[in-house]
Formats: sequence, C-alpha cells, structure tokens
Amino acid sequence: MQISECLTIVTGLPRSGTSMMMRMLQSGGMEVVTDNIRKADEDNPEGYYEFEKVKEIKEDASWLDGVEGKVVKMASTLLYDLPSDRKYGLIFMKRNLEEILLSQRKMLERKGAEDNIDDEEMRRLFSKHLEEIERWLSEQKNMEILYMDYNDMLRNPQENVSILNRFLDNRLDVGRMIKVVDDSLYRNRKTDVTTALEEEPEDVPGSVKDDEKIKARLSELGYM
Amino acid sequence: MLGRLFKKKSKKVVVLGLDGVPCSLLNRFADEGIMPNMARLRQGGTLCSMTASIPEVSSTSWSTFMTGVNPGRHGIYGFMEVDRNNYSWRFPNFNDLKSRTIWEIAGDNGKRSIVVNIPSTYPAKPLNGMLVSGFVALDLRNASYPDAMYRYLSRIGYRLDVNAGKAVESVDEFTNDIIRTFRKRVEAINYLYDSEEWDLFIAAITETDRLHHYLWAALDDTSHPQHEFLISFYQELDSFIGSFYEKIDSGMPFIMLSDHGFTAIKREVYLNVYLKEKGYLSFNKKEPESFEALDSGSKAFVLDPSRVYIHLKDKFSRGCVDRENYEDLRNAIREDLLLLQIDGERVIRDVFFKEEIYNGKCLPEAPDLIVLPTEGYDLKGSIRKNELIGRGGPFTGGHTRDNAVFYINRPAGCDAPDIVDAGVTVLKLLDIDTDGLDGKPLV
Repeated sequence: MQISECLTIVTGLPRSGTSMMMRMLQSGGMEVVTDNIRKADEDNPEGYYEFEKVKEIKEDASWLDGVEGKVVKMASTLLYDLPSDRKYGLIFMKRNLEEILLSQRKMLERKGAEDNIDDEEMRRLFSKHLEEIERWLSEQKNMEILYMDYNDMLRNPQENVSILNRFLDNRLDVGRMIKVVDDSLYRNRKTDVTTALEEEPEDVPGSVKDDEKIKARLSELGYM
Repeated sequence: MLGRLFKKKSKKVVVLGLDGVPCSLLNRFADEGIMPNMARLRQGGTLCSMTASIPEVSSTSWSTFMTGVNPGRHGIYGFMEVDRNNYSWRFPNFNDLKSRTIWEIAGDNGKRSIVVNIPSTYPAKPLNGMLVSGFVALDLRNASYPDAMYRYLSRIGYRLDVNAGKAVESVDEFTNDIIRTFRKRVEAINYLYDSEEWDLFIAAITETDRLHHYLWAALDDTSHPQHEFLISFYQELDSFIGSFYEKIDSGMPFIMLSDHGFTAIKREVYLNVYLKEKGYLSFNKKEPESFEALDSGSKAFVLDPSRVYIHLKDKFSRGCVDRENYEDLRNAIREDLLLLQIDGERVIRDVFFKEEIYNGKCLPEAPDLIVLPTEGYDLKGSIRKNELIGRGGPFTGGHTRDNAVFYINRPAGCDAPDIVDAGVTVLKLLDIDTDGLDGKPLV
C-alpha cells in the first residue's frame, strides 16, 4: 500500500521521542492532526502534538474520515482500538527503557506529582506491553510498521531520516527533518544529562559496551 | 529471445542451518510422525550424522562451515579470548575471521548470496548480495548489509535472537519469545527467498539451540510442563521445512546442516577448578571477574568450553612457562585431564594437542590442548566457580561434537562427514573450484 494514502500514526511509549518525530514530520511537510489543547512546557518545549480524540478512538473513530495522508500521535496502548477495516502507516518509536523511566521520573518531579508505581514495576509493565504490542502488530495485515530508535536517530540523523523518508514514499523535506533532530540534540546536550549521547555509542562493534553485552548474552547460554 | 531459451541455467544452492539439532533427533521425529516433512525429505535424499568442529561451539563450527577450512586457518576457536598483554576479555567477531567465506568466494565467481542469521557473522560485511548476522549480533543496523536489508528487517520488527535470559525468570515468556523470534525469522527467510535474486541462499534457525539449552529435559519427560511445547515447536519447524522445500525448484540442491549435536547434561565440569586443584592455576582474587586476576605463577588456564592455554613466557605478558618446559607440561596436563572421573566414569573422552587437529597460519594462536568430553559432561571454562562439579543450573542440554546433521536432497556419501566438508560441498554444487580448501565435497 502507498503509505502516503493512509493515516500515519506516530506511536510508542510516553517519552520515547514521539513528539520529536511529530515535529520532524511536520517540518518535513506532513500535515499533523492535533488540537493543541496540551500546551508546550519544560518537558516538551516544542509542544506535545496531541489530539484528544485519539484517547476515545474505541468509542468514536469518525475523525478518521478525511485524515488520509496526515499524521497523528497515539500512545501504543491505544493501537488495539484502531478500526481494522482501514489501513495505517505506523512509526513506532523505541528508546532505551532506562532513559524513558528517568525522563518520566523527572517530568513527574517537575510537576510535583507523585507516582505510586516504582521504577522496577514500571520497567516490568513497559517491557511486557512492548512485547505484547509488537507481537500483536506483527499479526496485523492492515498496518505497515517502521520501528525507529530515538537514541539512534540522535546519533545518525542522516541515515534514519533517509529511512523514514523512504517509508513515507520519499515525499518529505529531508534537510528540514534532520534540522529538527539537530535542534533536539542541541537542547538535550544543554538540559538532559541522561541522554544516551553522553554514553559511549552503542553501535560500535568491539566497543567496551558491546563487550559487556556480549558477555551477558554468552552467560545466558552458559558460557563465561 | 531464443538465446534465452537455450541459455544454460546457472547453478543455485539452498542451505538451511538448524543450530544445535542432533541428527538422531531428526531421525526420531521423522520416525514418530512429529516431522512428516522431514521423513519425506529423508526418503528422497541423504540424512547423515556429521562431526562438528573442536571445540563443538557455534562460533567455531559455523566459521568452519562458512570457510571450508579448519580453525587453524580461519582463526575462530571460541566465543572469547584473553588479551595477551592485559588479560582482559576479547570477543572475536566476523572481522577476526581469517579466511574467506563461501559467499565471498561465490561472489568472486559472479554469484549473488543471501545470508540470514549465520552465527559469528557480526558485524555484517559487504558482499555480493545481502546478509543479516546471527549470534552474537547486538544491533540490527550493524547486523545488516546493505541498508535495504536493515530497512526491510526493521520494518517487519525482525528479532535478532531470543532473549534467553528470560528462561530463568519465566519459562512461558521464554517459549513465547522462541515462537515469536522463529516466526519473524521465517517471515524474513521466505520474503528474501521470494523477492531477491540469488544463486546461494543460506539461512539458519537458531531458536532450536536456545530451546535445547534450557528445555532439553522436556524432550523425553512427557510430564514436563514444556514437553508439549517442545513437540509443537518441532512440528512448526517441520511445517516450515516442508513449505520452504516446496518453493525450491526441482533438481536444485538443498542442504540442511547443524553445527553440533545436543545431549542431556549429567554434570557441568569446571576445568579451571580442576587445574587449580592440580596446582596449575591460581588467582590473586577470591572471586575473579576476568583473567586480569590471574596469578603470574599460573601455568595454564581454560577458556570456554574446553580450551587449555599454556601460560607461556613468550606469549603472555605475565607468562611463566619457558618454551623448553612446554611439552612436558602439556603431557602432564593431558594425563591429569584423562584421569578425571566422576562416580567412577571418565569425564574426558580425549585430549588433543593443537597440532594434532589444526593446521594453518592461525595455529600459533590456537589453544595448546583441546578437551573432548564424554557425552553428558558439559565442560566449562568459568573462573567464578569453586566446586569442580555443578548440576547445570537452568541448563539441561549441552553440545556434542558427534551427531550433527548433514542432509542433502540427493544421494551422497555418508563416510564420516565433517562440518568442514559441508561448505566445500556447497561450492562444488555451485560449480566453483574448491582446491586449497580443507573439506572434501560430499557429492
């Protein structure tokens, strides 16, 4: 199917880079579906790109008429409620889970809110959800899915944006999308010491970090 | 137009790897009706027991298959090595392979290859074709060549491997993961087979090995909670083999192979503890994390699973063994190892000196002695253990050198085939000269 002829949905866990992806797609030339009810704040200074009606998709999906070719943001937990008689292009954002947890924790702290679920429980719930939703998605015939890694996007914007553009039928302005990533990168460097950018890149085969991962994988099979 | 009709068809070969599947298990499941497609294939071809590499680990065995030469030439002796200067861990990867792969040789001959999930091919390297690496691949982007492969795999949510660590936390999650990963693998294999141009198609299923490591005990115990799962997994594997074979043009060579056999673990045996007990090895820490804590006076140590290295002065920065004492020491260690018994049973079937089983430019880096266990004894190079013998923890299955699989859909010689012969056979079937390689063609 031509992705450009159906609704594109940016999805993933909260704080996984979905807003940045929405901003990229908007800058690249896609029309976004948003109501701007939730305003920009310190946690998402460029805005949340939310559309309240997606939260009630189970009850009312009428807004899906006429949004073909546009992009909307939706929490991955809501994907199950999408009508199955339509086609969708999904951009599923993935991010290091520890970073997601830390980012959420910081957001809650800034808001002065309390969360009665500890990180460990949250980690378990998120992991379980990701496994379930990925399994479910792999069985959906009406969805074309592109998994994008937030951490990798920040490290290799050129390559990732190129993949993204191909997924969306090569119709977007690549340069403007890369600029959004670069701006996010700059902001992250200034404000967020928890980003993976501060760490050794994960994708350099033979790095110390790789060695640790290999050790762990070998241990799982009884070596080491 | 007429020229095309008369053009000689170029030779093509399809290879399906079944990591860690014993030949006896395929025969048994074929006989019992659990793998009817396997039974059909067996009837129309040759299924024989093959010998794996020494040591019988995936990295060494698959590297031997993919190069058609012995480890003394390709240089992969196991999953890990010790740095000779600072004694830290080093993990050889695809860039450390010292011989050309069969798909590189095929590429030299104008053949295009699709390579899916062959262990020890990480990070992916350019080839005439497409490749996604197998174990221990960490990152899909680095595991894929070219970018189109990455894009496709990323789009379908391809899974590089099962998260085997889950087996300890939740067996249900582990078995779900096995199925999910297997189905994604099959999806990718079918898609690449159908949509790409190729002359050589090589893919491996590795979920079998993960399953065997943790759930081998479920094979014969019908009351085991995962017995049904194990059987149903093999039924699904058989369905895939059957439908995959249906796609293959009649007359096209189809090979299946495994990199080692599997058996029930009677005991894990920690060879470094044995060397400590015999006075060959000591550490300057009670619980060493690596060989950085190796005592300078140590004469030998073991790396997984069964590779003994003499701590030579001219080889290791803190080595203490003079070259003139090398042979005496090797002989003494061999004798001691052969004496090792548990409950009156010999643990060690054989001990080889490196030059007895390897040859080539990588021989100097080879382990000095290589130990082959009696079936059921799982030899380990762990340095954290203090007891000689263990029960195996969560692992119930271990590798065997014997009883690996070699299958081909035509008559073939079953005269003690070795995994080094399998890759050479592939090249021969592609009409490519195999002179200079170590293996002998099996057809």
